[in-house]
Amino acid sequence: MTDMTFEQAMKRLSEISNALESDSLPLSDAIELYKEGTELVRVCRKELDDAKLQVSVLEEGGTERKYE
Amino acid sequence: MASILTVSQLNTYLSFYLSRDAKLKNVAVMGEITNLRDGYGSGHIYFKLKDDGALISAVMFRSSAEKLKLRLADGMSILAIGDVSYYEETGSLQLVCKSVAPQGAGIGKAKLEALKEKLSSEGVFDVKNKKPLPPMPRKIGIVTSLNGAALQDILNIIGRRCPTARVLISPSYVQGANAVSSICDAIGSVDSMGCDVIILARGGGSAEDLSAFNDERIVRAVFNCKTPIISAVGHQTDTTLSDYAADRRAATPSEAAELAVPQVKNQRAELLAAEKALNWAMRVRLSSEKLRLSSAELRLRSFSPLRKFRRDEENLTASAARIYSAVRSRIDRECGSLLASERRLEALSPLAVLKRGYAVVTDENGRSVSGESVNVGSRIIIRSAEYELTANVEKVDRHDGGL
Repeated sequence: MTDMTFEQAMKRLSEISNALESDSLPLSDAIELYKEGTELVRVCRKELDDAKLQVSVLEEGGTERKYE
Repeated sequence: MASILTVSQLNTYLSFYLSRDAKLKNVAVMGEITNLRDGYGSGHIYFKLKDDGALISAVMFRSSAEKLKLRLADGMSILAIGDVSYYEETGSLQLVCKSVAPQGAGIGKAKLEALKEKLSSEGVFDVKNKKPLPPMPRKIGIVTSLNGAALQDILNIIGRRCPTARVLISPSYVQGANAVSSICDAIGSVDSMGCDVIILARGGGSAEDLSAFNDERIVRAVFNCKTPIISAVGHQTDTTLSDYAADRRAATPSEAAELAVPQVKNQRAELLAAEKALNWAMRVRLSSEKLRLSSAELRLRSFSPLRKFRRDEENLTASAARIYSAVRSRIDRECGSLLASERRLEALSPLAVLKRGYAVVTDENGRSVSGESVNVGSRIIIRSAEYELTANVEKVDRHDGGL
């Protein structure tokens, strides 16, 4: 989960919401999915709250250094 | 001595030889117009171009002449751009001009026009070669000077709109002698760093400052860049060939950042919408489960043993009532018949006969008396309704039954 990008998390959330709407999914699975979804929302929100643009500078030879 | 040629053979060879020399293509020639004449209605313009020491024939065919913005005249100093071609039939050499600009300030412009035409014919500016920008870039490359205001403008906008994005700056000189190769290198190296989009930016500057972005090498580097690239060079009014070659053109570096990271993809709003959808889906699911549960409960209750018990109880009560009423009516019936029997019995009672004036005769032991059981002298008891008489038999006679 933690190595998911924001967009992947959004995609997963949309999948989960779609799956929850299907009655063929057993309720226990639905509850598990819902838990996963709320956790994703929590992590994404934290990511947004903590986010500071990561900027680096490309140096000769293809190495990246942090931009100050 | 070489082999003997016909004139035709010589001219064919000369034509072939001259056409092979790339330096004679797109050549820019400075000179003064002389002997100008129009092509007698054909739309072509014929003239000679001369300087102090030499002269060359020149022609501008109608397709090029139509695009001329100035009217050519004898004595005009111009910069002509065109190909040298050899006309075999007359053995004459001429400069086929594609564009003409007044000399002086116009030189650069004419060269630029010629370059633009050349690149355009190669498809460098074609819309069909333009790559679409990604809807939501994760990694954004920026080719610009580390010290410019352009960089700060871009970083501010990306940071505000999409704080989870990563930015990779590929630093370059944007002015001076090394600008062209520096920019080309910077584009080339950032192109292979897995960026989703690249911004090529330079703040405003003089025409000379911006001229690097008209250099063929940079224009080609922009065109050949595999990553979608947004060009933002100078201000609104300045447009360079790099801008035309880029996949998108932005008027300013800020606008380039806005194009790269669209506002509609505001991540916070997106997250909020996703959260709402999630909660809604779960709520819908839960309420449908509740509904299912209560209908199951209802069904279950209808099969419950308690319900069967209640039904038995009801049956029992009904049976008891039926039995009670049956018994009751039987008793009533029996009581009625008893009463009738009693009355009938009463009517048959011997006492009732006595009341009518008859008497009962018995022996001393209360046994009824017949002729055979009594003798003369036997004691008998005569019983009427009100008296009991004790008597002795004096005579016994048989009679025939009448009174």
